[in-house]
Amino acid sequence: MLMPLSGCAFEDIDRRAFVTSIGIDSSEVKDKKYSVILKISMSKGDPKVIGSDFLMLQVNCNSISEGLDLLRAMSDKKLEYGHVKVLLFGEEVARKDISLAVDYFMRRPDIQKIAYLGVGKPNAYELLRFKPKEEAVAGSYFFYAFERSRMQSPFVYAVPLYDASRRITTPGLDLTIPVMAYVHDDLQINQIALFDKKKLKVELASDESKLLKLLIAGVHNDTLTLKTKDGVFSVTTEDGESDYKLAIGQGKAKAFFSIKMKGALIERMDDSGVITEDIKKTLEQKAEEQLQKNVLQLLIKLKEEGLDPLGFGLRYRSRHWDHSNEVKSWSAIYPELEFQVKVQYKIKEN
Amino acid sequence: MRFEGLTKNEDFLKREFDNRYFSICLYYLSTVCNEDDIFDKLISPFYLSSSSDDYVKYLRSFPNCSLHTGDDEGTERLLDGFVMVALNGSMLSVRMKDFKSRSVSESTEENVLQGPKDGLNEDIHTSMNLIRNRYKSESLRMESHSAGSKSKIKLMLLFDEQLADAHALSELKEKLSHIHVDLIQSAGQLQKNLIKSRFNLFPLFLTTERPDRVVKNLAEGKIVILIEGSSWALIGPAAFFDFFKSMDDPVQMPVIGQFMLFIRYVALVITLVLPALYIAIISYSPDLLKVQFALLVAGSRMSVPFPSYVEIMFMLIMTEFLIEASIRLPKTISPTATTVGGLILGQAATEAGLVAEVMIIVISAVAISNFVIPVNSMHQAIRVIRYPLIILASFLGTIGVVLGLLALIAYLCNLRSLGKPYMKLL
Amino acid sequence: MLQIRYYYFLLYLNFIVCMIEFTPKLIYSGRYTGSLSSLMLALFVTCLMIILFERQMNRFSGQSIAQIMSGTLARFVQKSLFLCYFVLTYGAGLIFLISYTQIIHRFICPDMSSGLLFAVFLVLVLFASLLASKSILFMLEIIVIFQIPFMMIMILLFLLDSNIQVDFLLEAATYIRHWPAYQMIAAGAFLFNGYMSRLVFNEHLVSSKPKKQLPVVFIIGLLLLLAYYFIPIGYLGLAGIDSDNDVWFTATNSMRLPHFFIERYLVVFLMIQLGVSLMFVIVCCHSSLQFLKQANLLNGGKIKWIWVSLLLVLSCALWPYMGESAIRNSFFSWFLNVKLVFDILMVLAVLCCARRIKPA
Repeated sequence: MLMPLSGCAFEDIDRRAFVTSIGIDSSEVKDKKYSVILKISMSKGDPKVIGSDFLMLQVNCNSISEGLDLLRAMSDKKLEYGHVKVLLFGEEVARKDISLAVDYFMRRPDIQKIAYLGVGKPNAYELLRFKPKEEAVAGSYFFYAFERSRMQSPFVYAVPLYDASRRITTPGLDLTIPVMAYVHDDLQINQIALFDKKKLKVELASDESKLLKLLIAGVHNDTLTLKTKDGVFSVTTEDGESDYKLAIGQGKAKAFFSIKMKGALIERMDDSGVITEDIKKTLEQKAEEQLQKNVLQLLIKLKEEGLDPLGFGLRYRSRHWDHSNEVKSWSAIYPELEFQVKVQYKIKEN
Repeated sequence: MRFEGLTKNEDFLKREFDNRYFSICLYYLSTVCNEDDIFDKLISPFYLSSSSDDYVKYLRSFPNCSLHTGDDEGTERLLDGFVMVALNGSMLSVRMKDFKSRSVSESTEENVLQGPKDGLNEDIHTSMNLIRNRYKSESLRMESHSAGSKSKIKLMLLFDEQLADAHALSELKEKLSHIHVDLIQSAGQLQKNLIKSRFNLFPLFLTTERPDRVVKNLAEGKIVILIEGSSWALIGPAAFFDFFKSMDDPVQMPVIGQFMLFIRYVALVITLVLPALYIAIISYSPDLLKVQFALLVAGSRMSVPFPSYVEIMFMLIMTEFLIEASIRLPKTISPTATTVGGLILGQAATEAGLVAEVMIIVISAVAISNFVIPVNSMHQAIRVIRYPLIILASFLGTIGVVLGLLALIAYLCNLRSLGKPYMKLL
Repeated sequence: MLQIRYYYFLLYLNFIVCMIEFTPKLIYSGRYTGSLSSLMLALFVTCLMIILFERQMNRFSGQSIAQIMSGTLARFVQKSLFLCYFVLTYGAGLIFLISYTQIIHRFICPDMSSGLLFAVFLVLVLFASLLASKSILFMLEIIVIFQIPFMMIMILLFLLDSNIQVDFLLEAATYIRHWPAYQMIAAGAFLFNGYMSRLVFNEHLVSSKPKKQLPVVFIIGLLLLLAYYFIPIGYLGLAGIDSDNDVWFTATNSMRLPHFFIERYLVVFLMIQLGVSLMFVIVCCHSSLQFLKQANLLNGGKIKWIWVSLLLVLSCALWPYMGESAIRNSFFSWFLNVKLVFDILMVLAVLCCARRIKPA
């Protein structure tokens, strides 16, 4: 009696297809909105063979759920979304609106909220087609790239789905998503795209991305190229972190940034002399100046675009007790916000 | 003629003797009495005594001597190895019992690393001797009972009067008096008759053949039943967690002992849940696993034509066969059987693509961890209880496993051993 | 007689089950208008209630509720009170069972029919609730002790997650200066409502030491309350929590078990919560049957089975009507208000009885 009732739920693992990434592009067909791409990882019979095969399914549709339904008809196996680790949006879609898609994925119970988001350049399909030389499971390449970037990459700040969702819903904290570009048969993830709640507004250059990452999450192992009168040096930053305070006075608002960095290894870039304590001192000073200038530039750029990836607005609200018209008053304060950046750069003995 | 019921037996003897002063008649069963003893202790003194009064006084000096009038009582005594001495119209019984058993030997079913090696004996007196010598306390009580309507088997109730729970004791006595079966031969049988319910799966009494375990339990206030003719003792009231204690634990350093205990519970969980969980994960919610692992499993299952529950049932039943076979086979052959069965069958089955490699690992883990449970009766119960869980898992997936476990816990919590809760932490 | 710890397990069980269903929706709907302060107030109020209640109940250690009330209240009043409680506890069990069935259906096996799940759960719950009260308590202890490590893992995962921004939490905390609202207090008090179970289990428990235990109860209660309020906010943001029906499951779906062979915490959490929730429903069902027994309506084997089959039929009949979460929610908030009134009535009744025996 029970068997027919549970029959449709009973499906052996080899009759299931594991979707590891979902891509969303804007459709080339005229009256369709999206083109949904699934990357399905294929299981291998022999565990000793390294390598991964995958299957791509693509469909044009007007809504994501419609697309997923259509895709179901294209596969002989049951599509399993529990292992989706990466959600890629094509650049074109990102420039229109991704908030609805994020909301859809957020409310779908079988998709993990720790899936990472990325903006694919030129589009999601090209990127998902990318097959690295060695990969344990198709699609894990992206995932591990993001995963590692949280700790190690100096360029991007990986954003999981739930983070994206709360950045979309929370006023005063804006969404940033790493840009994945397909350049010369290689994958590059070194840019951050800034969103104003719904759509992509600015793509930061990789230098600016680096700084933004420093401001948001701190960095590990980043290099700075410094020109001094003694020659050109490249300094590896071992550890850097930043913190800021908001001070709201009468009508005047100021954000005090304090950035602390530790440099370690110095590489001489031309045939300048041995590195002495003096050179170290000047290098430190130079680094501080350079960083301060760049950070200030970036902050002003963000302010002028009206974007707030650092969450000044949230910080403002979390420090104020009066909630009656915070959001409004903050939107008046932000354009007038002034910045002060203090950088401390220390080069260790080596 | 006296003792009508016994006269047809070959071993029933009636011997008459006469000296110059008086005559006696001995009745006994030659198979349960020691004839040398009878000659030395009854017949020789008879020819040396000069009056029947003297001889009666001599007989009275025997520890178990008593005077009888009825025939029924006498028959019972005869069967128990007594010699009936009839003189001057009265009937005296004297114990001349001969119980053939092995001498104290090593316990073979419950092995320990350190700790004493001797095991209980079929002869109840030897066992009592072993126990008394280990537990020298004046509050130790030994009460004799009997069970079985056809064959009256002697039971010995041992308990520490100061520690044992009076409720449990009276309940046990009550239950013993209500046993109405013809024959009881072993501890397991007695246990079955003490537990009324037919569908009971779990042992409510500990069975042991180790005197040190008996003594340890006595000191914890438990009641021990020794059975004549069986080298196993029943210990009650028992709790679920008692079945996971080995006699090695008190020997070890505390931390190591705790660790061993922990390992056993882990083994319990694995052997109980793993097969069901395998089905649940493979067929219902593979998103529990990491992708890599899920794909690996999917790959190794590619060639398997059956659904997961058929696969696992097939292999589990094979291992059950293997275990059964290796118990029944002579000791010289059983290693061969396990090798052929375990290694070759497993290897061949995966190579033929009939079962997944991962499944073989699961099955072996289940089989090995089953043997970690130290008490035999418990690990058999666990072996059986796996199957309902598997059935639940194949219908309801992971939910089925959780439901099954919940039902199992509810069932265990509702069991009582001699009025004491069976499953209760602390 | 069993130690008093079972009583605290009942409290804990009540909290962890109620924290994931119904109450979050209610509490977070007032997150801009003083739900946090209401929760804090609820904690204080319930602590006071617990002390008051326990002190009265300690006078009657080892007595059933009918024994406590006999002599003080008229038999008719007693009976109707017990019948009301029968309906209340059974209703609580049923809506929790239905709503958890829906959750399991949505998150674990969308392909399986939810009616089947409900039927299976119901059968298990009804049979388990027929066990002796002591057996229920033993079972409760095992389940709760099994759950506690997972609760701690969850809190640890939250604390160690680098993606949680303190600003979110602080923003939520700044709303504490709003005045508490009655509905929120009722919801908060319901979280700690486990102490009422003592009405049923008092026969089997020794008397407690309310003052000595209070700091522990208070601290654990506060900790749980903070976890309850802030963990979802940390993951979803104060504004984002609004759109979500199953706040806790979305939040745990955002957790990662980085170095473990199971990656999704959600699945583990769901399984554990399934066990705990069913345990809660079992306790509810058992309590309702016990109230019937106290009202002298559950004597003899046959009547017991009639009642059980009646409950079974009733549950199945109500199942289609309670399928909608909106209906369940409105029913639940109605239920909360009624329950609080009855709880106060009950405590007053017990107080009356305690007054009466005081001189003796």
